[in-house]
Amino acid sequence: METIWSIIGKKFAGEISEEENKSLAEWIETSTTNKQVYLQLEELWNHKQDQTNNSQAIAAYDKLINRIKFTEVVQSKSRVQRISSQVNQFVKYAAIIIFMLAFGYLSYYYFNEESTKNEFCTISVPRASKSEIMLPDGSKIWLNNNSKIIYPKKFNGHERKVELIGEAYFEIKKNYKVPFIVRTSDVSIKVLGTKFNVSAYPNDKFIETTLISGKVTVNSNENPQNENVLNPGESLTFDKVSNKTAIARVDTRFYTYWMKGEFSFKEEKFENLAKRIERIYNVEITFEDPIIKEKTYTGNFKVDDNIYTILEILKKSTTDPIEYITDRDKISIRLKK
Amino acid sequence: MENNEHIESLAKKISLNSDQQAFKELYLVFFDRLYKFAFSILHSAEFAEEAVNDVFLNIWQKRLQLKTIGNLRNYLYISTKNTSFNYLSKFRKERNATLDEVLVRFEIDELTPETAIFTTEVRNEIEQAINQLPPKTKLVFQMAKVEGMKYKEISEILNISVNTIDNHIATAIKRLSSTLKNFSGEESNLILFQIITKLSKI
Repeated sequence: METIWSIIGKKFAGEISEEENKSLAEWIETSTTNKQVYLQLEELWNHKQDQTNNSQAIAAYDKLINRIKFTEVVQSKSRVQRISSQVNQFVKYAAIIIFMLAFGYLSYYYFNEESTKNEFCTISVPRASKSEIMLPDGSKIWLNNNSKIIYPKKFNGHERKVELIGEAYFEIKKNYKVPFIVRTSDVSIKVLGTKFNVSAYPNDKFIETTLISGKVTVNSNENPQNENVLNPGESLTFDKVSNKTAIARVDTRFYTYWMKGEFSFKEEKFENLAKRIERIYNVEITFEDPIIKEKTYTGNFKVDDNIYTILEILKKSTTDPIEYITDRDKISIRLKK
Repeated sequence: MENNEHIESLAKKISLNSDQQAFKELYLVFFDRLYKFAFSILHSAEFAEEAVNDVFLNIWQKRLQLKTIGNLRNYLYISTKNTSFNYLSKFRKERNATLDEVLVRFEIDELTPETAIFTTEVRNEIEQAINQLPPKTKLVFQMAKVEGMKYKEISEILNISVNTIDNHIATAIKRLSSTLKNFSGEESNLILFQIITKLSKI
């Protein structure tokens, strides 16, 4: 299709031959209109329009990094599973030895390669999702939605320190020589090997540490002498405003609901319940009548339940009737008039 | 358009040193355009992002063999296309998805000073003219214009002949010309006056 349009296209795309260039020049000189159109076309073609949307790209990149970390963990896990399914004992032991050698080699390679450049890993979980992380020492962390954890690629010899924003459940590998420390905005939790949950969302008034088993100590960051020891089944609440701490015996199930995809509450103030619902369902809840905030609820929901199902149940189970108005992800709750 | 040598040096750093910083840079250079390309096939923002991340996850996992790839940009585009088509067949059960249904939107930014010579009215007309073209023509036009790709590269990515690409581009240029011609009289004389100073390139 040797039309002038094809020639102009080739000219712009840098595909033009010398001969075609000549006929293009002739065509341009034939009339003012031709010249005008050509110049405008050229102007348009050369106008660069790729305005990179950087914020979207960066957000997407963070997701990619999480996936890379995740697949690395999964790959090492599936390797273990495949190996342990071998029936023959001899093969099993031989394989384990080979695996350990390979793992040792790989982790040596990996840590040396990576730690020189990037000392820390950051894993963030966006709203309405959660993530499971395996740390270099074999400890496991379940990160709740809208949370972030920062940990070194390789722990040093005298402490295992991670930083947490948001909520996470920890299962820490025992190592009496190297304590494990979770640092939040206001308090640090020191453990030797145990299971516990920490909720430290920036928007919450309180930081809650709940111990499932083992033993932990909680220190204020500002005032490290302010130390509290927690026993299993106890929850420590640190008030970020008054810097006061309170320890209470709790039903630990209420603090680990999010890991199981189930969500229980017992005589919980609607205000606090709303904060949990906000996090799980990625919504914003406001109360038009402050009196509703003080209402208490006891119940159990599946995280998979639709938010409207939950709102309907809450609506039906109050003495003073309430109603809610939704505007996309904003939910406003008020007394029914 | 990115510098090819720069892309090559990034690929080298990723391949030889597992350089995460270089990987991030490569990602940021290509994200937007690959995302738009994937979006044109998948018509879904969520899946488009997922497809681009699949491609880069693969790049990271196979970083040691990265040097065996001749033209990394083309490789990224072809991978994005294949991944997107895989998504289509997986999630929409569309076995024979083709490029005939691509969704491409042509837009001219008004913010840059260069386009100030085109009034809003002209800009709208031009956008409309291009957007009325068949989807595949629009896609080819975008790739040649926005990406500055050679016909051969486009032909490799879309798996269509160079001749067909020539036809697509000619169709787009023809349509643009007739739109531009419509703006006769004073207005286009003014446009001409403004750009005539930039002449003498040919």
